[in-house]
Amino acid sequence: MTSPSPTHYIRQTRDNYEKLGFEPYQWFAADTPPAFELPTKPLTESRLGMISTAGTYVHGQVAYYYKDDTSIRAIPCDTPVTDLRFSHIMENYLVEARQDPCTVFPVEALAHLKEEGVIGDLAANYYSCMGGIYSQNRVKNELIPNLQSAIATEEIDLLLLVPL
Amino acid sequence: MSLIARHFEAAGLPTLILGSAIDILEAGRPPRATFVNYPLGFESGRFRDTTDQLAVVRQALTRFDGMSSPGIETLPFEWLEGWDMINERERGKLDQRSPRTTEPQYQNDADRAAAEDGAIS
Repeated sequence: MTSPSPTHYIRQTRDNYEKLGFEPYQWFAADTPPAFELPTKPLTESRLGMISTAGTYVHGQVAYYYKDDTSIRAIPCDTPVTDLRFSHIMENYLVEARQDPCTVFPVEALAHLKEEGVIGDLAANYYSCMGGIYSQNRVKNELIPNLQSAIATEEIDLLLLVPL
Repeated sequence: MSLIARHFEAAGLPTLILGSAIDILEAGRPPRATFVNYPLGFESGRFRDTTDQLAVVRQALTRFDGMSSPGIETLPFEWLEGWDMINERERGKLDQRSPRTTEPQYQNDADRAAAEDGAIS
């Protein structure tokens, strides 16, 4: 038994929108190599943070909206899984996550790995955003500065990023 | 997500993406990524399967210590039943987006009531 070949979402989306007469969605495509920073200490001694783009929020917080929302939410790392919610323009991908948030927001696995000693420590807060933003300028000029300011308060050594 | 990863890495913070869309990852050229070939919505493991979720996250995190140059590494997980479930649900649907609106989209009415009551500021 094998999994199917990896899905090509960019091509699939372009083809589907073309059939509907829509403008093509512009995915981010980097034209330069990324920076690369080696960890200064092993995972077992590091404090790990997390950002999710799945539109994660906590019961009691304001949900995300679906038109270029560049706000963020702080999700305390000890939030009960039963209080985790999602609002994202592609909510069709969140049918199961709304029943089991750990399929896209792995709070339980991270807590377990900290308990085991695999991860040195966890950030007090994880962060989320709503990844379906149509303007790369707004991602760069609004969303990323919001995340930068928040992450700077967490004193983390490593950052796990889980997209939807 | 690659834009975010590239930003933080350039600022000196090592990052790792755990993603399930290989072509979107490749286009974004992130510093450090792992690819798990599960449907979108299951990036950190199978539905109601804490053993699988723990295994996926555990394996992904080993790449912080294990990668010495930028790249995307495929994790050895397969889930044919999950693909069957999603393919059946999405068959023939060309546009899955919800309407674009500036009104908060709560998962349920109780969430809306709690937020409007200011339960958490």
